Amino acid sequence: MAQDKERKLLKPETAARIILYAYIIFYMFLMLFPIYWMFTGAFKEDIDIFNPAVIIPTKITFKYFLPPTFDPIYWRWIGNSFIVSTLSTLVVTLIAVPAGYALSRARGIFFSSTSKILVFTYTFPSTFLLVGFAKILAALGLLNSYAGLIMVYVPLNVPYVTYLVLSYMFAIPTDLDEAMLIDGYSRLDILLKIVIPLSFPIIITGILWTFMWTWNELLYALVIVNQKELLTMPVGLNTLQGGEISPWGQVFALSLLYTIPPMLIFYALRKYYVTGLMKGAIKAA
Amino acid sequence: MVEVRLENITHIYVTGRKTQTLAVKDINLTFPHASFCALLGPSGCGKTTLMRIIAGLNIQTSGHVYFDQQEVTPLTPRERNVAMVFQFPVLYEMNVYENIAFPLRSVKVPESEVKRKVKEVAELVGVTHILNVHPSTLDMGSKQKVVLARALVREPNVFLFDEPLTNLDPLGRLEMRSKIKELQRNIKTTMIYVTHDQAEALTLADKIAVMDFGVVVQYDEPTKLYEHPKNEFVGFFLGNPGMNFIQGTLEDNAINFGEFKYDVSDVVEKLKEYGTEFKIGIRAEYIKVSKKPFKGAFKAKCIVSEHLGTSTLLDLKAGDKEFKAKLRITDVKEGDEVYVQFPKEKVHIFNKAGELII
Amino acid sequence: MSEEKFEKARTPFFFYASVLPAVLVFTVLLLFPLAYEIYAAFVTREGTFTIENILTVIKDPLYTWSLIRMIIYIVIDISIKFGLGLITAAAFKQEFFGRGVVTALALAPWAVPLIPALFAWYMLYNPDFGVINYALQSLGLVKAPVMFLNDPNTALYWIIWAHAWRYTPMWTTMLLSGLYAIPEEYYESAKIDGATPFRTFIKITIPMLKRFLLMNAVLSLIWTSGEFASVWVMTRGGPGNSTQIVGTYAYWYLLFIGNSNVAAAALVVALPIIIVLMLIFMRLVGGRR
Repeated sequence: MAQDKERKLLKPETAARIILYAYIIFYMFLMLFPIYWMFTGAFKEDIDIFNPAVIIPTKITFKYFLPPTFDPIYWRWIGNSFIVSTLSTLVVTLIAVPAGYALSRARGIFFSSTSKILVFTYTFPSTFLLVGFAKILAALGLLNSYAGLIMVYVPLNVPYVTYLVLSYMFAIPTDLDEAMLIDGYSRLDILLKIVIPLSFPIIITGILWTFMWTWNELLYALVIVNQKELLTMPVGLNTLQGGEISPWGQVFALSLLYTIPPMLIFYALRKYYVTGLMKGAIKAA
Repeated sequence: MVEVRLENITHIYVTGRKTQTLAVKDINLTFPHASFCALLGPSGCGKTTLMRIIAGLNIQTSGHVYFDQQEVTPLTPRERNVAMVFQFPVLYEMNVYENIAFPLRSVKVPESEVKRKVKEVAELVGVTHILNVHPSTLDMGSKQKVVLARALVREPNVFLFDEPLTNLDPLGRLEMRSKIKELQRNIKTTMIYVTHDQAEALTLADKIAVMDFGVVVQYDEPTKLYEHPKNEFVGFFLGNPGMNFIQGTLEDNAINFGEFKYDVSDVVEKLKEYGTEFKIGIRAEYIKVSKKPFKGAFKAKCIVSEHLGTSTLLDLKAGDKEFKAKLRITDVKEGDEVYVQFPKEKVHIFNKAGELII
Repeated sequence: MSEEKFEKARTPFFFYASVLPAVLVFTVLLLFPLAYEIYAAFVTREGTFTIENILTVIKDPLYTWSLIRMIIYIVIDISIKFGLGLITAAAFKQEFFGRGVVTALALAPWAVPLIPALFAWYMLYNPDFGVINYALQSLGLVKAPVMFLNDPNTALYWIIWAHAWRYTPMWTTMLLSGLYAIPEEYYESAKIDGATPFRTFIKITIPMLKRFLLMNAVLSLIWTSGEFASVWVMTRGGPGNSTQIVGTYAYWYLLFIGNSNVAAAALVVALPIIIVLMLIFMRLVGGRR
């Protein structure tokens, strides 16, 4: 009986719309303002950086991007980050994709146990292996080297990416595989020609994941590398910040440069990432 | 139990940026009190859109929907008091009792009332023994019962079914079909049933609206639709197999099909108004077939013979004209020559475009 | 082919070869450090067995507080990500002008690297030249500048906020995908049954996503327990050790005090909590398969 609750269709609807838009504006402001503020800070004169009223800078400067304020070692830092992230991502992907395929198809105790161990492994928080890794690397003399860092980054990411790939491929019907087997193709062919192309979204997701993880990583980089030339950006930025008087303009400028590679990659692969996250999230998490 | 009336309903879907799709065009239909009406048609004909408009899930682009004399267009689905059964059992993550009670609780019905009504409906449908159970453990049949109970508990004005049998296996389908028929007998509520399965519509409905490409082609009782289809589409869509349509040319007092003729001397004057190309429609089960010649029969060859349990379906060919005949058990085999006649009282004549003349 | 041979044909050499590198990675490259770390926790610098490290750690109030703060951190962090994420996901599910652009832009905090993002908030929080204080004071909401990170009582919470801020977008996307995973018919049925959008959300949507939500929540708890960067960058564990959590504690002991055994102990002592959470997670995952 709708008599005692006769509402006009319009009122609650428009009120709801207003609340919706208000929230979205509020949320977007919350998400984007800090980023905006930081990036404009890269171009502000020192005085303006420390003046909170200057939201839209009137005087801009590029001095933090150019020598002499811009120390050439910063390029080394970005380069180091780039090398380490790219290599780690490459190795992780090369290991994780075939493994994910195998685990999604193969039967037997070995493979099912491996899958279970996989879940256990990827949930483990990386910080809690700090001392173990540090001591082993020190013993092997791999401190202050790309190899050392990569040797830590790879194992810390392989389990999760393998799991993402495994879940995704699990949902790809085996009919395709079997049809190709009957036609005489090898498993390798199947993987390369059919399964990988079909798994593009999740592979891209895995690549993005690893790249971003390594690009952002601080703790292990701090512990493993302390030579100024070999620092990755997170560590480098961290060293610039010290005490009350930090070269904030420089820090912001560097941050901007440091943000560009992932932003570009992220933007270019945006389509794959969202699909992958959606599909992977429902299964994986 | 209300009379549902649709007046000049037109609906256009807007998807994406500018893509517009005309779903239904200028529909005028009246579904009488307590009747069981079907919306029948192929995929994309607009039947589901129409149902959603009746439900209030979509608001029509133009036109009016009336429940009895009241225009319900500005009302929400709940305010219209419609109940809807979907293609798969939509059951919430709560036990059966809670599921059934949900619509009552949503409009703040007092607890004592809720208990009484839920028990009442549970008995009617037959789920009293599983009220405390979580739906995930139930079989398909029981799930659908709970769905029906939840729909019934609100004493709806109109019951809407959106192809509820499509996802069931043949056995489940028969079971649910009889349940729905039972329901129809027990509670006098207006029911509107959407389906693409003509057999379902023919068995269940009092009246059927056959739809194609967004328009209602014919709205009639099942028998009338079956025996007197307004056009080729309806004739072919209904029946298993559909009506045969054979094209021929009017010559002298008969329609010539090449290898055989059909006498139309009694109506030839009327036919002349429509030109010279015609189609005759005749249902497979009415065609007379014999292995021996008889008066008025013409020769045809059997191309395919399918046994369907109690009947046999024959694909016959005379000249370049093919048609199907349905007989009781017969020993006509593929390759046999048979003699065929179309009984006059069962033949309909259509013009070239497929519209009924006679 | 006999059953056996068929099975063998289905697990060819290729599979073993494909999986081998991954298996090596987690047995050798992950198990070793873990084992070595546990060993280091129970051993002196010379290598003799001892529980001194463990005792030092347990008796140190700084450590126990670190542990407590770790728990506070992960709980508040997930609450924000969840709460804000869910509301935003529900909002993003609606049709509104500019939805495509907004959903893409909303991921920005996640795309910006961690350290710069933390720096940004650090500056925003600053009592003297931070925008937040400036805005609050200009609007007359506060008289004196708010000591966000400088107040030992509140610093941790502001760090947590900055961290949660960065990860909320990812959660929004994930939760949104969960919302979309529910067939439209459920929402329609609820509408027909007369439920308000709010009631639908609470009684239908969330219960249907229960397992999904729970799994992600537990995973977040586990992964965030090792948090280090946000605290280190924003306060270095200060002011006055009021924001030390397990991660920073272990790091500090390892690099500043130079005692790797105690650092190892600090990590090992916290492990049981982590293991319990992991087992809960495994249980939730197992339920599905």
